[in-house]
Amino acid sequence: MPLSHSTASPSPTPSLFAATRWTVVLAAAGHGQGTGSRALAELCQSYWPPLFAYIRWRGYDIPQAEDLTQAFFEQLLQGNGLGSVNPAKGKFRSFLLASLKHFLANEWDRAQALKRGGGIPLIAFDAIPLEKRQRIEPTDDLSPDKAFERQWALTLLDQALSRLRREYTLAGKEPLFEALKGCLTGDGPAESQAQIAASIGMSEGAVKVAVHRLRKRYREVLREDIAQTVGTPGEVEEELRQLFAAFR
Amino acid sequence: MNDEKQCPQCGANLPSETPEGLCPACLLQRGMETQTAGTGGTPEIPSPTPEALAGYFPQLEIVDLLGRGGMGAVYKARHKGLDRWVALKILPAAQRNPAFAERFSREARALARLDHPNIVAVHDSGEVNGLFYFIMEYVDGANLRQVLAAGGIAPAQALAIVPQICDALQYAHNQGIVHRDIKPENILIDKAGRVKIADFGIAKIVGREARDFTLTRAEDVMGTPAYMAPEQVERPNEVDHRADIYSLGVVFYQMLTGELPLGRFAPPSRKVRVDVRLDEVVLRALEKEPERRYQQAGEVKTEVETIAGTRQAGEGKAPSDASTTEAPRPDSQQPWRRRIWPPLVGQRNGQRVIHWLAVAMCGLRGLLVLLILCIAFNGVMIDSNERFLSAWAYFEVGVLLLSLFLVIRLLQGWALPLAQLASLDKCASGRSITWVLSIVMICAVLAALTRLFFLAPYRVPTDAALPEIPRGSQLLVFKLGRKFVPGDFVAYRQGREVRVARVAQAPAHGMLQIARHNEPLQEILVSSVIGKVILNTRPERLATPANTAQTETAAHAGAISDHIINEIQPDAPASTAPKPSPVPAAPSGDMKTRAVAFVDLLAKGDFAKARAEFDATMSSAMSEPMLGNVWAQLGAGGGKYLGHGSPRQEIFQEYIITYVPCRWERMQVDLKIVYNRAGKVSGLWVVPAGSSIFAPSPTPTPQPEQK
Repeated sequence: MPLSHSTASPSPTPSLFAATRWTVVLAAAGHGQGTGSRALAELCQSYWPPLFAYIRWRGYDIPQAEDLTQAFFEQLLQGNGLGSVNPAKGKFRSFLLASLKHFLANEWDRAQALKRGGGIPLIAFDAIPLEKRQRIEPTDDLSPDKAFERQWALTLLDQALSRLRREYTLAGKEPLFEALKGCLTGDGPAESQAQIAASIGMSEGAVKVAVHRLRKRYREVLREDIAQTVGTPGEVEEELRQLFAAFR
Repeated sequence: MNDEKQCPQCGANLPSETPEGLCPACLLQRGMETQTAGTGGTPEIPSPTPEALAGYFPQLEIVDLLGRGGMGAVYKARHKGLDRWVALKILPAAQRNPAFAERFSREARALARLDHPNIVAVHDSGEVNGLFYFIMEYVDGANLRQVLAAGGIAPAQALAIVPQICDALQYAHNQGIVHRDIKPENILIDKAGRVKIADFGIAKIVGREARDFTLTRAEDVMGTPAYMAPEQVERPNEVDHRADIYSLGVVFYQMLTGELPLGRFAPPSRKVRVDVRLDEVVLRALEKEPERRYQQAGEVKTEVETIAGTRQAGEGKAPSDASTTEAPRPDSQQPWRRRIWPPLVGQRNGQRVIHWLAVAMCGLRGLLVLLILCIAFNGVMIDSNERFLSAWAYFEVGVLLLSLFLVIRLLQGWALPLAQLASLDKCASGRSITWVLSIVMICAVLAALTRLFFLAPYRVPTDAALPEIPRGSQLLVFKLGRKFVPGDFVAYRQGREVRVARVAQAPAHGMLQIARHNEPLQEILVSSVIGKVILNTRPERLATPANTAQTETAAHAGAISDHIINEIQPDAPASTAPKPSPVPAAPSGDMKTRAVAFVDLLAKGDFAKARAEFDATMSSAMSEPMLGNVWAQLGAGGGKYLGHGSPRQEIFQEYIITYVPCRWERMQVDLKIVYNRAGKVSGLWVVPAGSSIFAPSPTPTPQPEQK
């Protein structure tokens, strides 16, 4: 049964991410504490599922995967140049994946880092329900890269929809969001739109307009979120295409 | 994940965690798609109103906005001058740069070259006040998207639509133009049911502009992703015409099932009642790698038309009904071609392999053809001065050509890409016909071997060599007969000819002495002998005393004369040496004239009259066919009777022997006519010119005189 939920982990607030790019964030992180570091931490907090998925697909069990994900993010935030990966341009997704691969390749270093590092774990795994972690099970015949991409896409969509929901909630229109969210993916048969109209007490014409506005806003939100993870605005299209391809 | 749900929209399997319970693929798609006209609400990008446009196009009367898409807005207009409806398409406002304008005009010219009944024709194009436009054929109908939304189409209709699309695609591909954006919105169906494809190549014109759009006003101008081939998504610059075939596959699938082929999709026959053979077509068109797809739209059309033409009555078969289909996969070429010329090279596990069985089949088939030709050629000419290749030689040449042909086909097959080999392999050829052909060919091979090594038929057209084997008889030569006894007939090779002769002496030292008519005894190599003649088909065996006498190898001219003498004058002492004797009563001059007249009769073929000349005692021996035969013998030289010279005469006892020299094209012979005391012909021979009964023949070795 598909899980209709909102992510347990807090999503980054829209205001923080509206204008920053991940490259800037990453650069700022290395210079110690500050806004940049917090921003990066929140970014990482959002995007742990794909990394977790990749590590799981590589064959580690859940506790190991958790540890490794933690360690990876620690190192990322400490700005220990993760090898030859150049964060200057390109996509955050590719950068993370490359870094993760590099990281896993030198796994024995991790053991040392865990002992060395200490401090507050960045990702509150305990706060995340176990089922959610268990759901990321390597059962498909996907490659780890593909699993990573898929999970990235899912996380991205999760994030965008949460933002959308938050906006509607702030505007006091959460019931409207609930009623109309099904129309995000398609029109559906005409009767259902009539039913929706009846259920929330709006005319059919108003419902149509509301659906249109929802879709429009959704697209904007999604694209903004993607824009955070790519180098230039022009790459948004390509990123969307590639993520779509992950589901084929 | 055992309890997989599927998205009702696109049919893809839903992961266990879905954002807000929605299908991620659809969500992503929505993130990319622009809105199509009619979904309500204010459009995002304002398009010019008809009134605003009217000023720019004075020659048109712009009536209505038909629709909007990623490729711009389309208006219905009336061309005032020509009084016909046209469609005016305005491309989305692009940055004004010369590169775009130049590309626009280049592509527009390419599009204008497309003149096909299934492609929306372009009448005009240009730029006016910053607006790039096309004036196109107006199609009075609906697009496929609207048709699908209205309730779908029947499989039969889909099978009627797809070939038209293929036609258009093949035509455009031949011109080097790829559509790149085949989707239901671009497939128009007019009221007559004709399919017209719109927006050809426009994706290429506006494509690069996509990246220049800023975030909030981004439009998808690269096509709807669900219909895009994987290589279009991943490597847009390496796209070729096969991307259109993928898109066609998606549209086809959607027409049949109403859903998009996303993720792990089920073949059409398992979703709706359609012909199982369509599965193969759709799946192959939807192959991820371009090499594995159909390489030409025309191939798809052929497949679909074949299936449509051979469908059972009714709407198609139940998905699980396999008994009515002969093979689960359709042939990619016409079936009869596959059976007669199966592929020689296939692939297994990504490696090229040679199908040796197929090679053997091909070889045997070729041999069959060759053998039929050779046997029909009916043996060989013997003793002809004309140069005929023997059937064996023909056969050898044929085998050589066949091998060459096989090698070429093997190389051809080797050169094919692996994917194409794999698809060729899938076809199940008609087994029964193949095996029948094979059995026939095995028999033919055996017959050939028999002919080569055991028995060989020959035909003797020119004869002359031996009276026992007259002209036109057919021989059977036993090739394994190696024991030669004098009196046997053998066939042997001399140079490039095959000849027949009689064995004169048993072989010795590898040489065999043979005798041929009117030729001196010869010696030939035993190895040049093909075999013994064991059968002679001519029913008329000349088994007469005269003939029997001829089969003796008389080495001496005198022996015959002795025989005559003994018969006529039994009490006269037999002598081996002829002695001159006084002339009989008949005058010699008269005899000569009569001899000449006799020869003329023979030459005219008036054998009845010639026969009347013969003595009663000898007449039984001299039949008309025999006369004809004698005359035919003279034809052995291959020439015609050209007349005669003046006769000679010799007197022997009571016989007047007249020699009439006969001139032939290549031979000079004497017709030796023996007249008896009564003045009748009592003997007739063909002898070498200049023969005489008193002396050995002019040729060095004594010759057998034969009739």
